[in-house]
Formats: sequence, C-alpha cells, structure tokens
Amino acid sequence: MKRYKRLFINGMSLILLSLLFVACSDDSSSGSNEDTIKLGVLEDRSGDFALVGIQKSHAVELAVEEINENGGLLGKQIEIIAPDTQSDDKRFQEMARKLILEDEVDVIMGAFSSASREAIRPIMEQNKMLYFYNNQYEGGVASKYTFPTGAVPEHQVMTVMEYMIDNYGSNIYTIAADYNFGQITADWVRVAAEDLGGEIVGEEFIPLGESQFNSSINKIQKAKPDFLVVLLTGEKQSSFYEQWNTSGIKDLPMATTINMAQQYEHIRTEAPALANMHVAAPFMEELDTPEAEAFVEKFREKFPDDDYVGMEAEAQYTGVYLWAKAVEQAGTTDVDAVIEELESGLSYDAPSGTVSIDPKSHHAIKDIYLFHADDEHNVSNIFKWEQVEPYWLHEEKGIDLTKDSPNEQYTPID
Amino acid sequence: MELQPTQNKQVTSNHEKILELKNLTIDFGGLRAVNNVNLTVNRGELRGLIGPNGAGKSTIFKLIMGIHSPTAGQVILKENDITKTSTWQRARLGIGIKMQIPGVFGELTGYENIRIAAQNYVVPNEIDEEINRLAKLVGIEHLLEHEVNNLSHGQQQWLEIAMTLSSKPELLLLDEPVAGMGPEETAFTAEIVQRLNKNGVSIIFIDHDMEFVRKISERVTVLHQGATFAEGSIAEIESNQEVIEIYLGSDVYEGA
Amino acid sequence: MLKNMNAEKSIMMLLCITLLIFPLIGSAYDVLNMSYFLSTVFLSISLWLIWGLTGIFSFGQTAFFGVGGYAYAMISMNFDNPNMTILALILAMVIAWGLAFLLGYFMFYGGVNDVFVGLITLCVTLVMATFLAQSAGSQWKIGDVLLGGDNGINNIPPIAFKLGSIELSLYGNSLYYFIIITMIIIYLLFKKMQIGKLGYSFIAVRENRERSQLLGYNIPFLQTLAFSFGGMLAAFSGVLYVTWGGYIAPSAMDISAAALPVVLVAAAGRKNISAVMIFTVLYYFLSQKLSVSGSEYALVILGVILILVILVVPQGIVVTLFNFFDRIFFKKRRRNVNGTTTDSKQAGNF
Repeated sequence: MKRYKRLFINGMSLILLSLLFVACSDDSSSGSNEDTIKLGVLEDRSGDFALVGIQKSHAVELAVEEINENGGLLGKQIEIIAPDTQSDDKRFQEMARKLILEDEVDVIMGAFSSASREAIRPIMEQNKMLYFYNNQYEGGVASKYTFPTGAVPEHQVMTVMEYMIDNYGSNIYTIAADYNFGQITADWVRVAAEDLGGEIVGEEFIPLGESQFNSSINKIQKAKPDFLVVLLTGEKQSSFYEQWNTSGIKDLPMATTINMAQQYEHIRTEAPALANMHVAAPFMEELDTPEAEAFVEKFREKFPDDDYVGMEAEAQYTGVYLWAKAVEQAGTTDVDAVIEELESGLSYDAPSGTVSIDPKSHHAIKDIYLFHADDEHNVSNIFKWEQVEPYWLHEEKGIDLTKDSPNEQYTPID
Repeated sequence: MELQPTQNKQVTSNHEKILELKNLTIDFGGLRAVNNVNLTVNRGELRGLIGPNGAGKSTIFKLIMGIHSPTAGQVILKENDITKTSTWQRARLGIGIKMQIPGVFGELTGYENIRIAAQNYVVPNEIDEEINRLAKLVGIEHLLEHEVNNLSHGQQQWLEIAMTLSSKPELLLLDEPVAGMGPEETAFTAEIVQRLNKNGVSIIFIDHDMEFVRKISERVTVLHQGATFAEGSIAEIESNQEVIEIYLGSDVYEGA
Repeated sequence: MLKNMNAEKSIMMLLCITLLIFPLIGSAYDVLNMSYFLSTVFLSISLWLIWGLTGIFSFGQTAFFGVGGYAYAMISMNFDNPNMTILALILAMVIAWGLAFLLGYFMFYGGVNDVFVGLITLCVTLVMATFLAQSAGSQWKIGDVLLGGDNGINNIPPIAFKLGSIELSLYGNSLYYFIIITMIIIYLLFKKMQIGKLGYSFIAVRENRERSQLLGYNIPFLQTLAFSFGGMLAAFSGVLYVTWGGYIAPSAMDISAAALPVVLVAAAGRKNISAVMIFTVLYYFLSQKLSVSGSEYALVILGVILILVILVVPQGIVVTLFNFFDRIFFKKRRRNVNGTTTDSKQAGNF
C-alpha cells in the first residue's frame, strides 16, 4: 500500500510538471516576420509595480490598436511582444535580451523603476537597440539609444516649487523616500528653494517599506513649515497619508511630484488625507482639456475595468506615437535613421498637449499643469506652464547627444 | 566471536588513577545536582555507578565529558586536569561515552555511523577494515548497509557501543547500556563489556538493572541526592541497610 | 564508477553531455540564457553545502552573492586594465570568504544555532540591501565607483584577460564554457569530498551536533568552515551574474531573493547536490517561460507549485524521482543519505 502511495505521488508530480510545460508554452513569435513591425514592451504586470505597469501595458495596446486600424506603420501591422517582468530586475535583464536577440524587435518601450531601467539600459546600448523610457524619474540619463520621454525634475519640481513659494510662503519641509529618486528629487527641491528664495526648515528620508510615520509627523509639526513636500513611494509609504490625516497639520498645503498623478492615491485613500495636495504633472485623468478627455474616454472604453488612467499611461501612449511618427518620417525602422528623425525636433500633439523631443538630451518638452486636490479629493488643474524644457543636462553637464554620447546617468548631488 | 585486543593492559596499572573527581559540584539555578563528589577510578576497573533516580549520575557523566561546567571542583584524567578542556578535546584524549538518549545517526546506515565515529582516529586506507572489525565486535556486521532507524533497539545500542569504541578509548562511560533490553540482549551486552574490560578498557557504567550490575561490576559507587553515599563491592552494597532504605519508595530498584 | 550506477549518476552524466554540446544546438540567445540559469546553480550549491550537508539553516547566501557582485564591480571598475577583472574575481571571493568566516565565527563559537542562524543571516541580508538602497549620493563610493543606491551599478565589465595581442572576454560561448567547466570541477570535487573525511564530518554536524561533539568533532570550527566556503561559493555566483548581466543592485538581496534559494533547495531535496542543481535550473527555466507567456498569475503558479512540492514530497521532488527511477530501472532499494545506493532489503525487527 505504501508503495502505491509513493507511486501515486510521483506520478502526480510528473503530471503536474508536464501540465505546466504545456500550459506555459509561449506563443510569442520569434524569428523575422517581414509583414509586421515588432514592438517590445517590458512592463511589470505583477509584483510591486503592477499598479502602474498594467496601465502602461494597456496604453501601448491602445496606441498600437489605433495605429494598426489606421493602416499600420509603413504599411505594416505592429505586433506587440510583452513578457511580464514581474517587478524583478533580473527578469528585466533576461527579457531585454530575449526581445533583442530572439524576438528581434524593432524598438523596446518599458520599465518603471529606475533600477530596472538601469539594469537594461546598457543592454540596449550594447546591442544598439532603440529604447523608450516613458516614465517619470529623477533625470540625468544621457544615452544615444535611450529616449526618456517622461517627466523629470525640471518639469515637476521647479514648477510646483515656484507656485507653492509664491502662494504659501518660504518655509519648506521635505519628507522623501530614502533611495535614488527620493534623494535626488529632494536635492532638486533644495536647489529650487535656493533659487526662489525659499528655506528648507526640515528634511527627512524614510527607508523604503517603512509604514510608521508618528515620529516623522511630530517633527513636521515642530518645524511649522509653510508647506510640505512629500516624495514617498510604494505601498507601505503611502500609509503616510492616512496617518497624516489623523495627526498631521490640518489643511497644510502639500506638494509632490510623484503621488496622485501616478498611483492615484487620492482615489485609493479616503478623503481628506490628500487635501490641499499639489502636483505639477503633464497629465492626470482629471485634466479637462479636450485632448485629454478624448484620450481618457478611448482608454476607458477599451479597458473598462481599469481603476485609473495616470500620467505614465499617457506618457507611454505618447511615446509610442512619437516613435511611430519618427519611423514614418524616416521611412524605415532602422534604429540610426529613426534616431536621426527623433533628434530633428520632432513633436506630437499628445493628450497632454504638444510634446517635443529635445535633440540634445533626448528628453521631452512638455506642457505642465498644476493639479490640486480639495477636501473631498476632487482634482482640478489650476495652473499651466507651457512647453517646459529639460534644460539640466545641456546647461549643467554640457551634454549634446546629437554629437556625442557618454551613456551615463548624471545626478545633481555633486 | 573473535575479539582483537584493543590495547594492552598496563603492567603497573592497577594503582594508576584513570579518573579522579575532586570536590565536584554543580548548581543548576537553586538546585545542587552534584554535591562535592570525590570519586576515583583506577585504570582497568569496571565500576558501577548506581543510585535512585535524580541522584545525579548522568550529570556526573556530563561533567566528566564537559557538557556541563562544574560550579566547583576538578575533573582529572590520567593525572591531567581537564576541567577547562572542551568536550571534543576530551573525547580525543581517550574518553568514550554512550549516553542515555540514543546517540546513533538514525537516517544514516550502520556503516556511515561507525565511519563518522572512527574517522578521527583511523587512517583512511584502514577505515573500512576497522569498521568491519568494530561491527563484528558487537555482532552487527550483517546490518551495516541498513538505515539505522530500521534496526531494533538492541541493535542500535550495540551499534552505539561500537561507535564509542572506535576511538580506542581508555575510559568508557556507559549510561544505561541495557535499558530496554530483554534478558538475551542484556547477557550479550554484559559479555561485550566484560571482554572490553579484560582487554584494558576502564569502564564506568550507570544502570538500574541490578542483575546486570551484579554480574559485571567489581566495585560499585552509590550516589544519592548528588553526593557519594557508599562505595564497595556489590555484595557489600546490597547488604548495606542504609542503601536499601534510600532505594525503598523508588520503584526503579529491580531486585533479584 | 560504472558498477555503482544509479538514476542520479546516469541523469547527471546525460545532462553533462547535453550541456557540453549545448552551444552547438542552441542559438546565441539560448547560450546566453543558459549561462544565466547555470550561474544561479552555484548559489544553490552553496546552500547545499551549508544546509544540506552541514545542517546550517541560512538565509544569508544572497548577502554573499551581493558581496561578490558588488566587490567585483568595485575592484574591476576602478582600473582600466581588463586583467584586473581576474583579480576582482579572486578578491571578491576571498572577501566573501572572510566576511562569512567572521559572521560564522561569531555565530557558531557564540553557540548560536538552528533557527537563530536563519534569523541572523536574514537580518544581515536585509540590512545590507537596505543600506545599499540608500547609498545614492555621490559620497557613497569606493575609489571612483559609485555604489549607486537603489539603481545599483551597471556597465560592469565581464571577466576578461589580455596578454599582448591576445584578448579574451567572457561573453557568449566563452562565458558559457567557463561556467560549465567550473561547475563540473566543483561538482566532482564536492562529490569526492562528500564521501571523504571532511564530508562525513559535515554530515556528523548535521545529524547530531551534541553526539558528534562527544565523538571528538570540533563543531563550531566545522560549522564556520562550511559557512565560510558557502559564502565564497555564493560570491562566485554573484560574480558570474554580473559578468552575464553587467549589473548589480540591492534588489538582488531583497527578501524574495533571499528566500528563493532556501525554497528551491528544500523543494529539490536539500541533501543531494545533483537534485539541487537540477531543480534550480528547472525552476528558472519554468519561471522564465511563465514570464514570457505574460500570465499575471505566473508568480502565484510558481508559489503554489513550490508549496505543493514541499507538502507532498518533503524529502524533495528530485530526490524522490531519483528513488523512483532507482527502483524501476536499477532495482535499488535504498538510497543512502550520502548518495550511494544499496541492493539490500530493509531489516526487519530483531
């Protein structure tokens, strides 16, 4: 009897394993198919970053569907190849290699966290693969093959700081996540404060994954700032808002570059946790321009179950169109030719306004709106900056990617 | 069965002390488990250590091996003070011990068990030979390839004795070597122990089986409440009225 | 060797041959990918040595993996000479060995064992990851190389060698064969060690520390020895990883990365080095396939499989399969813990 039990268990294991092999046999095509243009997508549809990753994946699907329905690109249909990178840097490395070497895609779009971007950027450069990083980040990437079209501190920090100091006063307290993005953005806040006559009365860095803010809130109260700059990320750190709601300073104006527009905290958290929050961003679902509203309508129609259409979804959508436009202009998907077009001052009328690529830095020139959330978390755009330029790389570091590419990321902490 | 001599008996050995415990004391919290014990065992002796439960017998063994450190007193092996020596080094100095709880490696084979016990003391190209010899000594040479958990209790005990012998110890400590054994196994064990002793191994053993104690020991030390209570030949001890009294009320006394 | 043939030996020989000729049958991408899978095997082997053989339950192997990767990056990137990468490889392993020795010394000579070792090593790993994650500023550097904070370090050069006009950089087939050859050497070395005095000493530590002490084994010394070499092997895995991918970041040491080797080794059958190696490659292969399929449930599926394996076949699934094939094809009855099989039936009671 015991032997049969053992045989049964072993048999079941074998069956389980083989079922697995069958179930996950991939149907991604490999090798060249002359009739399609292949667009590789590296986004996290599971794991820590899935909230934004799924939005961005959907954005690509929407853009590609529209292009394909309108006759495709250079007369060919675009085919999306999108493995799930599972919020895992190693997965990014593996899948980047796969897309480049096995699937032989024509362009790659993707990555949310800066770590995952940095994991794959050298792979793109080594293999001369065109890579679009359509996501907000801390800025500073100077790479011939990389086009970071998302928002950077020039877009989001200088603008919101200007508004906040003008309207609320010059004493500033910063609370930021303790890693690259938080530290670098906090530095930008400092730089902006100095330029605009503000003063940092307090600054605290919170480890990633921390969810207890009692002592931090105490410190903020003691410092009595005119406004609070919040640069916290991730699920755990977002519990700051609830705690602030309970024991923080009521109605104190807050500013951020990262919350609300990206992971829609104003919807996921109960009011009035984010009351009086300001964020300067190219896009939020609540943007009331006709282009923005049309985009949101299309998006919701195709993906009715999605919770939110955030700034990175729009950035990704715009990124696809920027690339498509460059390909049409170049008449080929050949990477060098497309880059040349991208560097020619190309622009596109995006849902967020006119977006152009700055040739020297490969970053984007965008319209920036100031979004404000009230007591009930109603969001409205109350201010606009037109065509904000990503000036830092060429002004501070003398970068001109049309001439010469260092393939590095620079930070202002020097 | 054949027995090779494990070591030659020392000619002048009868009065040489192999083990001496001087004023040995240990406290566990508020409990004094061993109380100022003075004990001398001469080379070549077969000494029994008896006493009611809780008398401190096993604790003394642990003190000898260094598993516990004494609160006071000394442990002296072959005229050397080993009170501060670490346990594994005491084993290498020539003390073998078989504790009360089973000390075999259940998931390994008999071969592997003896291998582990012997390999610190035997050169690699002689080790297989030695393993077979030891196994024969205790009658389990046909069981070497079996997983030890599948051996009977008695076989496991003998295996453990074989393991304990692999270091060619000069002093052997046996804690309840026949616990749980039937009469036949007990007799066989007694034979093994006596043969070892004849070949020069000094042995101290603890047991509650009085027949076994009577059969093999020359001299017996009685322990009571952590202190030495009496010492003498088994005949003397068994007719000692006080000894009988400390055993009454304790149901571990297995008389004739 | 042939007279003692069993399922494990035949499967491993088959795999060895297949892997040696793999570059002839796979594409360049396949070879690169397989190199990645194989580099993770060393991490599992290090845990087999520490836990499977010596019984030390450690969550710290990823910490030493990280030490290997970061140390290699620091040393190789501070010099222009490609030959420095070889020095970087050696030094990274030595540094990891030293750190593991230190940590092991304090733990084992301090009498810390069992679950507490797991806790301490997990803490060390997480502390290291957290510390590195916040090292984003330009003040955090060794020599000219920035630690990079959460973004990590990229553009790490692969192991290379340059003498006069001969230049060899480990990439593609050369990296693959480097990994395969070192793996075969290490495997054979450990197989030999396992049946020798040192191997049995480690097994004694694993089976019963107290009893082994009474048999004359210096337990803390053996534990520290195993732990230090385990750390060195984990660092080697880390160096191979950065040679393959040119990148290392604190995410390589987060809690899921720390737990994965333990789960893999447990599910494979932790006491058997072949099982551990096979299952590791299988897992990485499977999980990549799931990722490619884009299924949102990939992580859940993998988790469920691992849980099922550990519940249903606690001895380890690959070990169970070895036993199964032994019985059917080789008519062996019992697998010794140490890897040899026997023909004898099990003993009845006396």
